[in-house]
Amino acid sequence: MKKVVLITVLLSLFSSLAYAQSEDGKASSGSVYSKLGVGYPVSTGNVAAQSMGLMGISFNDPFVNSLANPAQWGNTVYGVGSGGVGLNSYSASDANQSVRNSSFSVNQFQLQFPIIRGKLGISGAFAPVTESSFRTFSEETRFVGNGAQQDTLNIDLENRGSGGINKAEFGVGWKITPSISVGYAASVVFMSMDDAYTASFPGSNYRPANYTIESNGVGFGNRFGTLIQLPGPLDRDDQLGIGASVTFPVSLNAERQQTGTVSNGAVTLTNGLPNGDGTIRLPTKITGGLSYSPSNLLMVGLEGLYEGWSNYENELKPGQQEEFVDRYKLGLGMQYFPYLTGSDKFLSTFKYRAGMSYDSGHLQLEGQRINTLKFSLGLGIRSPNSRSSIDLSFEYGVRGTNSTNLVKEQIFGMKLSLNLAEVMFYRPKLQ
Amino acid sequence: MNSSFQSIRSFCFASICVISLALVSCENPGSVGSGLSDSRGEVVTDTVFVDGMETVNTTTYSGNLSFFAMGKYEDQLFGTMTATGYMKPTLPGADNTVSENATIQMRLLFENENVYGDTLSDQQYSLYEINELWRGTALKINDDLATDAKLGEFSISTDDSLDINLNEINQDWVDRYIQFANTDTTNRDSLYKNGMYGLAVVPENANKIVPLTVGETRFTIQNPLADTFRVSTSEWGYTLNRDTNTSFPQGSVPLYNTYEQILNFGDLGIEDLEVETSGLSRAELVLYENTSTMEQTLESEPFSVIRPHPPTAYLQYADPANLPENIDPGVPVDNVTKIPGVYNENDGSYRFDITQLVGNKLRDGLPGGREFYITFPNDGTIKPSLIYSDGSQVPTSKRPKIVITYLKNSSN
Repeated sequence: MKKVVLITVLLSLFSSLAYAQSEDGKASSGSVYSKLGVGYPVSTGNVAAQSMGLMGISFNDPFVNSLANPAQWGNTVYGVGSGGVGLNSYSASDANQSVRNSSFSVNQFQLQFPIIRGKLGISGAFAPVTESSFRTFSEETRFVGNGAQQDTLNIDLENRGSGGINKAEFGVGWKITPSISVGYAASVVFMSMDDAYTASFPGSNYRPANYTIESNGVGFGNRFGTLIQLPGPLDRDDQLGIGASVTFPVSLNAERQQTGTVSNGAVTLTNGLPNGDGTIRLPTKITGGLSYSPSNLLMVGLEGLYEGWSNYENELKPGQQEEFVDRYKLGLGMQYFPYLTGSDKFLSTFKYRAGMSYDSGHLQLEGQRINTLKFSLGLGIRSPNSRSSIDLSFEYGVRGTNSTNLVKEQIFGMKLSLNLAEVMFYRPKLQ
Repeated sequence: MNSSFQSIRSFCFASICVISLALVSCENPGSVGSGLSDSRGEVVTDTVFVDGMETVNTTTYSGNLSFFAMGKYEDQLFGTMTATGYMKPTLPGADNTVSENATIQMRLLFENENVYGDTLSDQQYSLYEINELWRGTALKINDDLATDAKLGEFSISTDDSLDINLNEINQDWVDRYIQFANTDTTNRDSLYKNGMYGLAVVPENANKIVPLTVGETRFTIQNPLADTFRVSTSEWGYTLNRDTNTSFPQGSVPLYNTYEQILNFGDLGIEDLEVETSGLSRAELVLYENTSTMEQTLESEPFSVIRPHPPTAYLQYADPANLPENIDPGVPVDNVTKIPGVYNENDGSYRFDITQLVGNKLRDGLPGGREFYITFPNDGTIKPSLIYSDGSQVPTSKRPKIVITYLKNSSN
């Protein structure tokens, strides 16, 4: 139990530090498309699944947490905890110029425990749903005054967005039969987003100006999932996995206000806004997929996602709704675990993963869908003394287009998760 | 196996560090994507014209200022001004003995940069003895102190100072002063205060008005057989009579540093702007001078004629009931807001940085029962200006205005 507490404290501390860093403005600007709506949707898959371009709903790893499908929790054998961080670099360009932003983010934090080993498990997690993290910066020169006393005024205008929608989720998974599992999770979904503008005037006696639109909201969400694992459909050692989950629409009671700071932040002033409160309705999300493992060394997966963003409603920003369209995502990936052969070669100690995904995106701007094509590689590093591991994911993707005044982003990303297994209830007698 | 894991872990850790550094080290944000949504902030500059500007006549104090003016000049725009100077020397200290045959010289130092009129002409003055009790701090600009018979005359040329031998001007006045100086009683100062009231310098011709620098205007007492020492002036001041038969262009109003006429308006008029305190970058009040009229009225004068020009004006937010005391220099009655405005020669405007004032108004409001006043520094010199007011005759580009630059939330 002490180990659990220690891990919880460490992960919480790490998460807090990571969040703090992401809010200090030094490395916290991500996709410019996260400026729209309530931020850009974040994958609920763990780092291992993301490194295969998948969501991770159709297969199960008993030593790695997963938030993708509540039914997976019914297969929980070991108490496992995980936390992850991500670092992304976005090279964005439009028809005229290109910029580069970097984003540091906390992916998720999850604890998963068996109640009845291998039959009934629970999960508690804190995870992002959407992320708004952007920074745009423009410079302008104006002429002030007239005639001989005309002077130039340099204006630097920065728009920085941060926050997003997160959820604190608790759920239970039940393995009804050796092949069929179901799960349910309820969550408190809360939104905290800032859209901050700062104007400064270098080389002049104009004082910096600022305001921030602060949006907050809370709602309740729930989702169901099922996982069917069919051993030996084609061969004695193979296995077919079929998974699906449904996340029901979430209504957030939200409000927003305009704040500003003066006297170097000593005074914060608040003002109401038009459409200052209302409901934000997040759409239904359906995921499904297949995985096939010819042996325990290899697995191939194909998974898809649908989100009904055309039904998204935001009473705080009613003018934006026509920009949202239904989202489809398809991922194809594989993993290879050579360490299971018993080889002691250096390269055989890792878990290898690779995959790709195509995401049609939830935005349609200027008649163009903002889609994303991603390629990813993954590496799993196992602990020599336990079932714990570190998963790394490296990805490269292209999002959007720089035609018709839009933005094309090249995304270089790295994710890391720490998976701590055997933290509670059951320690295997045989390694 | 353990050492292998350690190697792997070290390798991965180093790799992660290198990759992380590469990913975050090149942040170069720009305007890409700034137009993607209707969330929009923009820097806006709005202009608000100041309405309801009026002139207010005040009778203010004119004594014990940094300078005191004396002279006369007929300005075809601002009228004929007659300034009479008053001063009173202190008594020497009790340990300084003044011989009965001592010589007293009055040394006058002029503030030549602020001479009003023909700087190259001589200005004639008559010296009178004041015949009533007065105090510099209570002297007002329209007072008229009673004088006795004329003591003598002198004139000021183009020099920056003048030494006047008072023995040659009037020996009787010198003798009486020495008598008070040598009085060996405890009520010496009181006797002097009520026995001699000082000197009045009355202009005799109308060539120029010369301000005197108080700190350097002093009386030198020369003892034939003892030390020479100086005494300063204990009271000083001036009174001004302005004969204004002239007319001013419509929409233009005179503004005097003597407070004979100051400008007044009730409100900034910015209530309709969507300005938030934190979004405010700069607010500037701009008043334009009618430079063309001012220059035209000097064109027929010799090149040596100078009309001193105030380089600074003040915007004051004060209670009308306490004028002029609450806007006088060095008298912080009512804790009045006082903002300097600097003259811009390029466009003939006075520009006041009222950013802090507007910020306070937006955040907490301004104290009630007060109004805005525009004044020139009342320092004892005489400096006028002709200011464009808010009348319909005034060109739009010359009307008093407030220019506000702010960050505006332009989101739909």
